Amino acid sequence: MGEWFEMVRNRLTRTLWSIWPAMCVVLFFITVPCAGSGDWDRIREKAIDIQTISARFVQEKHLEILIKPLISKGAFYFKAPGSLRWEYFSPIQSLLLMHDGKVRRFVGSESGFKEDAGPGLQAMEMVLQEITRWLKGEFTDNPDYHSSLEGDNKIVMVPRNKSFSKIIQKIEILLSDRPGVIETVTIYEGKTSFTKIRFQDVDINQGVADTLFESIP
Amino acid sequence: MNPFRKNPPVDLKMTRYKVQNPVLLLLGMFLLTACAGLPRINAVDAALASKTIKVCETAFPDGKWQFAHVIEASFPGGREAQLIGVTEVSSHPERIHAVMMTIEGLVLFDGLKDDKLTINRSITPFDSIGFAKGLMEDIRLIFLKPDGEPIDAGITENGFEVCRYRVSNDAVVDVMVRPDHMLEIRKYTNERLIRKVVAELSPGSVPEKINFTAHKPAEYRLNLRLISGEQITD
Repeated sequence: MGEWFEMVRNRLTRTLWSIWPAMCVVLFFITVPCAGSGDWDRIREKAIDIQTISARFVQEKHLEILIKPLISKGAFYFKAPGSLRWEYFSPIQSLLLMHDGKVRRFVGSESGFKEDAGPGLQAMEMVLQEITRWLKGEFTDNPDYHSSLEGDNKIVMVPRNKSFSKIIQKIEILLSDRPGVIETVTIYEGKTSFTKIRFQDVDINQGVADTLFESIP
Repeated sequence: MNPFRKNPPVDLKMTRYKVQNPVLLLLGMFLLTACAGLPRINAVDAALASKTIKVCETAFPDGKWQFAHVIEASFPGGREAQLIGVTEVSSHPERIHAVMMTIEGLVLFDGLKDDKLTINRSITPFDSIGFAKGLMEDIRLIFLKPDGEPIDAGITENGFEVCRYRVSNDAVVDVMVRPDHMLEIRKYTNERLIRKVVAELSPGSVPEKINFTAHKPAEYRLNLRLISGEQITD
């Protein structure tokens, strides 16, 4: 059972790492003008001005088995060059913090938050390097995904790696009519299995305190 | 006359007993061994036994239900994991559909058990048949009444109503209905406790909080907290 547990942790880490490039794109595009111009270079230039991002999100899990989508709620904060807080409030309390080159993960329970210090965290530190690159607008350089613009407001990312594509088929990012704001990110595992994240109350360069990346509930 | 003793001992410390009838001795040892692992059920009259059986039957959701739970898993060594589980169970006909996913919504396992076991999706190491079978057995233990009629029904030493079911040649399941809407289920294999479930029930026998303990062959604990529970009418 111990070896099984370690395999689970390692597998989840690799899977999470495969998702994070897409999340970096989310963070990046949440602040840029509408990509309808199809001009990747202009988008890259705008990324230089991003210092802080804060937003709330509602996550819907759709499955064929579900009578209605499973709803999760949370918030995330980013501060350049590499501080991130990705927090779920419900139905599970979970917190991922990246700050000062360190990554920490906490899971809430009835007895409070417990730190998860498994080997997967080492992979998360490497992901931070990737996040920094994406936030400079260099998302098309990621060899793991093929990114394309469809229409005026949809970005589609498809894994190049066949093993990844068995886990995630594609990621769709829908830009809002409001310049610089992402409306939704949808991660498809299959035709009837997908996770849709809706972003709300997006604030750009409004200031984010360092304490948000250092403290846990 | 004691069949196990021919000459009474002079010094207890130096006592040696000469067995008169080894067959009886072996039979006695067998009976003692056979009964050692299973808790005693105190007999009650027929009317109370019948009432107890009814209580046991109504302690499980009837019909088709869908539950979503937060699952906190604890393993030896202090390791823990959190997942979300979606379970659809049907009592008639018996059918279990189980999905396990991460907090971020990534599906790790999707399996169906009716007259056969079908794995719709699985990510290593959840892709083993052994894992799928074990998961379905555990889900069945928690959410569905054991098959058939109980082989015994009465009162435990603690005064709880209990029904005992034989679920296989070497396994029995005790269903105990405790006060304050608490349900306890224990599964024994060869009279050894291998599974223990303690559930807090809401009206309709919906399990809101579930503590699940696995003893053998591997030790782990699951705490399930209900997110949603809905009866499905086709």
